Amino acid sequence: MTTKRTILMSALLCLLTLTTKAQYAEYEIKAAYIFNFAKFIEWPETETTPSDSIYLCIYQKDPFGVILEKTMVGRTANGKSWSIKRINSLKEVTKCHILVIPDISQHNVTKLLKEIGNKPILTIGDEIPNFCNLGGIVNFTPQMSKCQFEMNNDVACGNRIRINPKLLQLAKIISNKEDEF
Amino acid sequence: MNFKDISIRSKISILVVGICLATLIVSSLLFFVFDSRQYKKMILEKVTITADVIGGNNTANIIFNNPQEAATVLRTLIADDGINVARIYDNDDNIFAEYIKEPEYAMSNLDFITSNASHKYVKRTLLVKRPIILDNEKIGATFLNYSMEGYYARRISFIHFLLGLFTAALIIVLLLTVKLQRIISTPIINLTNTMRSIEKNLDYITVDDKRKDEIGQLINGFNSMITQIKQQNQDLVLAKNQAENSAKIKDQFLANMSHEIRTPMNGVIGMAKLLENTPLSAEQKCFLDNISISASNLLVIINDILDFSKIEAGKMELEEIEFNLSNIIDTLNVVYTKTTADKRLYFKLNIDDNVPKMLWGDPTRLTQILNNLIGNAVKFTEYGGITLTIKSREMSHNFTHLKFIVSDTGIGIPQEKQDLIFKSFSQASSDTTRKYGGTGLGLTISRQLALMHKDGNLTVSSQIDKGSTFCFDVTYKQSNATPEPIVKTTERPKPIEGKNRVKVLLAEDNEINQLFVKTILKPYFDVYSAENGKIVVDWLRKEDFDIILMDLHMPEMDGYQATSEIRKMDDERINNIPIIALTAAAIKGEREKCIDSGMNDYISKPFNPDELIDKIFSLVTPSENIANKPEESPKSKIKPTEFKYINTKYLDSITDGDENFQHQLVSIFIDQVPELKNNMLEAFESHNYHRLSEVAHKAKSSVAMMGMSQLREHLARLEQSAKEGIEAETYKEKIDLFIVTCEAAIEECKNLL
Repeated sequence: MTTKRTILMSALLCLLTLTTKAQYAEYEIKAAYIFNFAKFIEWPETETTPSDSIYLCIYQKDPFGVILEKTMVGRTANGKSWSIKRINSLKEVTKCHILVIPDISQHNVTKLLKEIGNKPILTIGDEIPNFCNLGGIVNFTPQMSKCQFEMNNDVACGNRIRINPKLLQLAKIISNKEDEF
Repeated sequence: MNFKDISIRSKISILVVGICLATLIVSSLLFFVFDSRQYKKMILEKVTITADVIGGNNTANIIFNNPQEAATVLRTLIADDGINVARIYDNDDNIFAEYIKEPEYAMSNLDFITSNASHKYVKRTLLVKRPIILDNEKIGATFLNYSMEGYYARRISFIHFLLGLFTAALIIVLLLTVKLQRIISTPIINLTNTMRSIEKNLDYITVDDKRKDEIGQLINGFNSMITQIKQQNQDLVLAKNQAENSAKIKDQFLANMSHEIRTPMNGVIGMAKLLENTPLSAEQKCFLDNISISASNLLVIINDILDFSKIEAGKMELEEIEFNLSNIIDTLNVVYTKTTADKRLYFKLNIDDNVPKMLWGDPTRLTQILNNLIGNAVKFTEYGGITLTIKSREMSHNFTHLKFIVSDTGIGIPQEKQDLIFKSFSQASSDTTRKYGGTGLGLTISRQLALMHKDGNLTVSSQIDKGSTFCFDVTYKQSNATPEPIVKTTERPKPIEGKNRVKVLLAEDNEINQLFVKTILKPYFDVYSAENGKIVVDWLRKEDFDIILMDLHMPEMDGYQATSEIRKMDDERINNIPIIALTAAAIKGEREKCIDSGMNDYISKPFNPDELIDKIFSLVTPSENIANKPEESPKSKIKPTEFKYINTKYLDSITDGDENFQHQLVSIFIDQVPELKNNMLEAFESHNYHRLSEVAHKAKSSVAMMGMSQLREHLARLEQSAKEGIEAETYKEKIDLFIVTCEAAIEECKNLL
């Protein structure tokens, strides 16, 4: 098991270090990012979300295909195994730890985020413009930008999700407070 | 110098300082090592933590591949001066991010990175490698190159601090030790000083220091010992004084005994001598000889015992005077040739040619030893004879070693008894004592005397029935003086009659001794006797005398007192009068005592008459003697005619054959007799016995001159008894005898003229 994991891990790290060279597909990198995010994030204990594994939900249109399964299955993050779900309705959202939201319309995003409210769900937008400003927590940014992702820690805090500052350091921080003033 | 021998003060100081230094060194070293290790460990921990922190901080940077951010984090390490290099490696050991303080530290340390070691010290730097773990998976490694200069600087400053500590501690310990060692050393040193002062001054003082520790006990012990010694010393002084006192008493007793015994012995010997000159039958002569011999033997025994007690008391001392050895040998030869001849033995002398004649030493003791050895030889030899051999060997520094060997052909001494004979009161057997007599002290004394001499020894070798050989070894100093020719006693001034005769005052309480001295001196001097010192002093005030013979032990006033009285007198004629001490106490120191008390000479009883006469002549003023000395004349040509009363031989001898002088004497005698006769009869008839005594005295001298010894004795007795007023009935008879004998003598004298 360990050997296998080590090989996989090193493969992933290789993959990570070489992303800039675009030898790996974009979603493979994004999958790896999602995997690594889990290591720096703590979710609150709730009745609805089981704490023994991380529920990764992909909303409606799935751009990853089998990549997610390839990346996550059989591996743990912070001792938790992965469970991947593809959901279409918001009703299923409550069980998720991470909700990956593909490129959908602005209107839908707002609606979706509203629905989620302050549930402890890490929302990851796939290159959705103003995702974090709209109330999303993490948003992949288009390639070649300075940071690979942006984060809204205020929302995370409001949803009782604790993001490790080390991770925050790497992100472009989007704050609600700027808008208020 | 041995540690043991240095003073306790230094010992304590050295010990304390030594112990302190040793403790300090050991603890400092331990502390130094411990601190170095702790410090090193602390640095390692710190660096490890730093590495871990860096790693932890960069986990996100690594997995999200953000080396710029990682480098930014690393740059914050500039705050820690010790960090030379900080690097983050990825899992393939490629540098992910790095911080380099100075370009000189930019070495890659790749061998350490690839090794399994977590840290390593290289050239005053510490290399630390820590894995970066994220979620139980290694995602990279942190590498730190940390400078150890701080560590070395700390070590050096630590050493400086220790040196300072050492010096300070040493100074403090020294000061404290010098002060505090006194607590222990001072009482001991005080004790030692007291002991030294006691040793030096013999003043037994105690130490005043009250304390209860071991030193206190030591002081107590010391004090009690000193007190005991004090007490013992007092006791010893007391005992010593008592012992000295009793020794003094013993000496006094010996002196008295010797005097008490010698005085009657003097009488016995003197009287026996006088008796020899009287007409005696053969039987009487034999008895008299026996008396003389017994008396002489007794005197020898007394002398032996006195000598022995002197040796035992350690009071025997040897004289160191010049003496003529040949004279001693000659005398021995004369004496023992005669003695051996009496026993029909031979006496041979066998003297080496190189035996010196004049020597320095004690002739008396030499003579005593030789007399004892030869006397013994004669005593124990029945057949054969005695040989005296003298061998001489010259030694360095003018010393001569002499060997006196006395060998006899006598009874011999058994081997096992040869040591015994030198022991006090021992003879070869008790039979010997019975058969041959003697005290058994002679050889003991001889050996003791021999041992007192330089290189002196007395040994014996003997075989039973073959004889004995005694060997006396001694070393004498040689004398360069030429031997003086023996002075013949006949050259002494002749007895003279007349008014210029020397007047001798004899102080002597014993009548027999008075008589003896008077008798032997009569032919030469006018002798007056006094019974004690007081009478002597009184007489001297009234009458002139030329010399005093002073007995030392007399009633009322003894010889010493009398002498000092006389010497204190004002009259120069009297206080310069020569005084000869006569004493029977022949013990050591008596002679010195006599000379010290102002006497001129000393003669020990029993004395040789010639010796006394010589001494008197040597002391009375020579001018008088010369004046009285008759002129020398050719030898008497008197033909040997038969003379019944007068003794022409005696007359010859006293005048030394001077015919004129003889005629003179005879004429005086012829002239004197009638006057003496008249005076005597006159005094007798008028019962003036004192006068009679005086006349008898004068007549006695006159008849003595004529050699009429029998008549002289009668007159002497008359003089004596008349003086004391006793035996008055015998006076007439004696006076008649005088008259008849003198008239006959005058007839003879006329023939002589």
